[in-house]
Amino acid sequence: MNNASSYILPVVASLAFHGLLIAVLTLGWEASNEPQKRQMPKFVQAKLVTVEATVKQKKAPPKVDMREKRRQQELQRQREAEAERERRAALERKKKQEAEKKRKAEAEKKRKAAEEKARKEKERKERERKERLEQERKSAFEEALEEEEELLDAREDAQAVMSVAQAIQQRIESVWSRPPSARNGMLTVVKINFVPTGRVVAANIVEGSGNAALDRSVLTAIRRVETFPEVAELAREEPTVFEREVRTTLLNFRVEDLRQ
Amino acid sequence: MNAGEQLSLWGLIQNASLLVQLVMLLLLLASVISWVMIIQRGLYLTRAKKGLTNFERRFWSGADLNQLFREGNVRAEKGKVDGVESLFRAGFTEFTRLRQQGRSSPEAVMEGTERAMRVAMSREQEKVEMNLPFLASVGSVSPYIGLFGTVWGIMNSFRGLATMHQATIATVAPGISEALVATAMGLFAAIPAVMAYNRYSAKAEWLLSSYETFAEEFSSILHRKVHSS
Repeated sequence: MNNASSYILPVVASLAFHGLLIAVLTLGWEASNEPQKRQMPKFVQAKLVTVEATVKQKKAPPKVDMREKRRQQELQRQREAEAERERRAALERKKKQEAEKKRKAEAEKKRKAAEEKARKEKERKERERKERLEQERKSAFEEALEEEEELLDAREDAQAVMSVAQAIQQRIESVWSRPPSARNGMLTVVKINFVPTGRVVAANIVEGSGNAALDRSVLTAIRRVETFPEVAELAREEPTVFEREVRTTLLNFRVEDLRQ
Repeated sequence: MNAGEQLSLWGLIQNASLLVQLVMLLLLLASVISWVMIIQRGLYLTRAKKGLTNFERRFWSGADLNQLFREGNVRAEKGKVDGVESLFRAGFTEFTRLRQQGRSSPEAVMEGTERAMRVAMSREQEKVEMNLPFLASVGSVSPYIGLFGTVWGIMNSFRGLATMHQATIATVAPGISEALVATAMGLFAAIPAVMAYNRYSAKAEWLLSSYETFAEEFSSILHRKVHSS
């Protein structure tokens, strides 16, 4: 009896202590940590929309051509009809006047032929002039178009290269684990050689951060990613751009968001 | 706020697997019981120490042994005699009983008295060292139980990770965090238990050696009394 009563106070005290502890933990815990969300840099794959306009313009010249062709066909048909008519008239006249007017008819025919010839000549000249004009206009237009297209292409290429470079960087940084000795502000510049399948064939430090472990960690991250689908896609779609800009890429890796 | 809610202590415990929850429950129980023991032992040992000093002061103040014995009579009937006083009472009762029989030799009287005190001593030892083994086993085992819960939780968390496409720290962190709660609880139960065990076993040893010393001294007084008369 003595034994049992000596336990009452300890039991109450222990339960109170644990209850208090749990209450403090549950209340104090939630207030302390609000998970901080770091804004990840978003990688935007932007494409120039004005390309649409140039495509339409490109389609314009064939339209002009068609119209021209149609007009020429019209002309020719007219000409043919006229010639037919003439010939029929000549035949009729020939029938009527027969031999006695043969000379006259011949003269007439000659004159007609000459006339026709002159007219044909004139028409031809006219046509040639028109064609030349058209051509000149067209070539000027095309030149301008080409120039613009080149400009657009260059801009597009630059953008594609940028976005691919960004994607590469992001891919590497997502697996990059920085060593504990890294400090904010350290910069490592790396030269990466790609092959058209998107695989890295060589990665070299161009400019070290001064911290060998950090430099090594960057190379390890690159090796870990190994294949970059973005590069492969670019190489498939635009091999020239790949050769010119991406085959050898320089990337900067900066230690920025360490808590110290 | 959803993530914050999920990371609260209750959320972590609720999301844990059944085994880990069982481990946590076990550890909480161990902690509660060990605290009961700690407080009970602490109170008992403090009281025993106080009783020892009080009784020794009265004993050595030169009071009459019969008088001392009679003072304790009332408490003895209620069963509230503890520690060194019960040693004294056992020895003195046996001594007077043997003396009143009159036929026994002084050696036989002393022997009987010492035997009675040894019995009382072992009973006291039992009382003083009660529950200490429990504290010792909580102190040594509960970290392992907690570790087991943690290892199990982390195992599950990594197994879940294997099916993920993109493994980020955010996919494993909650699992590991909830698993680590088990270790924390194990340590929480173990640390006070170990400290209390070390402290109380030292105290108990000191008390028992004091009892032994007192028994020796008391029997030497009785010895003198037997041979003088």
